[in-house]
Amino acid sequence: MTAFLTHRYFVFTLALALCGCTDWRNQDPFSASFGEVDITNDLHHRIKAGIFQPNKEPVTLLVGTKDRLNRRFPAPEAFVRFSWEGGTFWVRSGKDARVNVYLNKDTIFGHVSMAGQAGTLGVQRDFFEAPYHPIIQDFKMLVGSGVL
Amino acid sequence: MKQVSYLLAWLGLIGCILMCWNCGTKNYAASPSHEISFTQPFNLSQELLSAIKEQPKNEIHFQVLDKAGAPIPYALLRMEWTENGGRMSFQTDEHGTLHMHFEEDILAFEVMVFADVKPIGQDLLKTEDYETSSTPLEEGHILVRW
Repeated sequence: MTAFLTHRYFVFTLALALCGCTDWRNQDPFSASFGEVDITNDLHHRIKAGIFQPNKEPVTLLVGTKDRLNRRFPAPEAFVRFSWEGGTFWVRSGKDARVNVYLNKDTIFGHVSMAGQAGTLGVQRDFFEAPYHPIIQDFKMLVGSGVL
Repeated sequence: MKQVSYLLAWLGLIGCILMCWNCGTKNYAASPSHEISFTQPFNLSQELLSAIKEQPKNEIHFQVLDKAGAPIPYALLRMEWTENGGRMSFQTDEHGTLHMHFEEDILAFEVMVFADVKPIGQDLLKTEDYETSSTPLEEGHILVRW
């Protein structure tokens, strides 16, 4: 038994099995919460923990689409629906598939829901700690240009 | 030879279908036929009533311009709800443009539209409150097209 476990064919088979179990499709910029976002529920704990400061930090949405294999891709120039007690409207994402919006406290706690077009599009909050977040890109640019 | 031509014809047909499918996922706006320029903040429900009511799926393009008529990159389009104190400021693109469309339920509210400007390069940094880090647009105008 020990000889079998140390055999190179066993190791090779085990490596193949591990590769097969890994969902490579999830290696994209989207987290699992891809779909409709209720901004109040989404930011509640972050605001309480002090890591999101309403009125200072914009809410950055990453808009995406998915294909039949559930692979998800950024969706530039796609419309996102904003719906709350103040009405419903749609905003088009930029070439980087993002919508940046500053919300005051009344709006942050107003259960604004944000969603893509039904079926194919979803949105998620793009958090500050993500390396591809535009705030980080701005920061890198400022450091590189000697402003900071 | 005949089989090859059939194969090419089928491939061409499949290619056309895939191209059409891909095009269908994008939003191509019709070229705007109306244009209004606002030098002061304006009431969305009053000024764009006909645009929203008659064709609610119509794209409305907002562009923030300076006094010389040049676009202000990454300017902010601020919408304020007077009834409930809500405020949303959307960042425009590098041409100062934001594309939106509205559903009819928004006409029940008084929504004022303003334009703000932030220093370039610091538009997304969380350094100060929105009110102190942004300045209302002066001597510029908001061009609205649909």
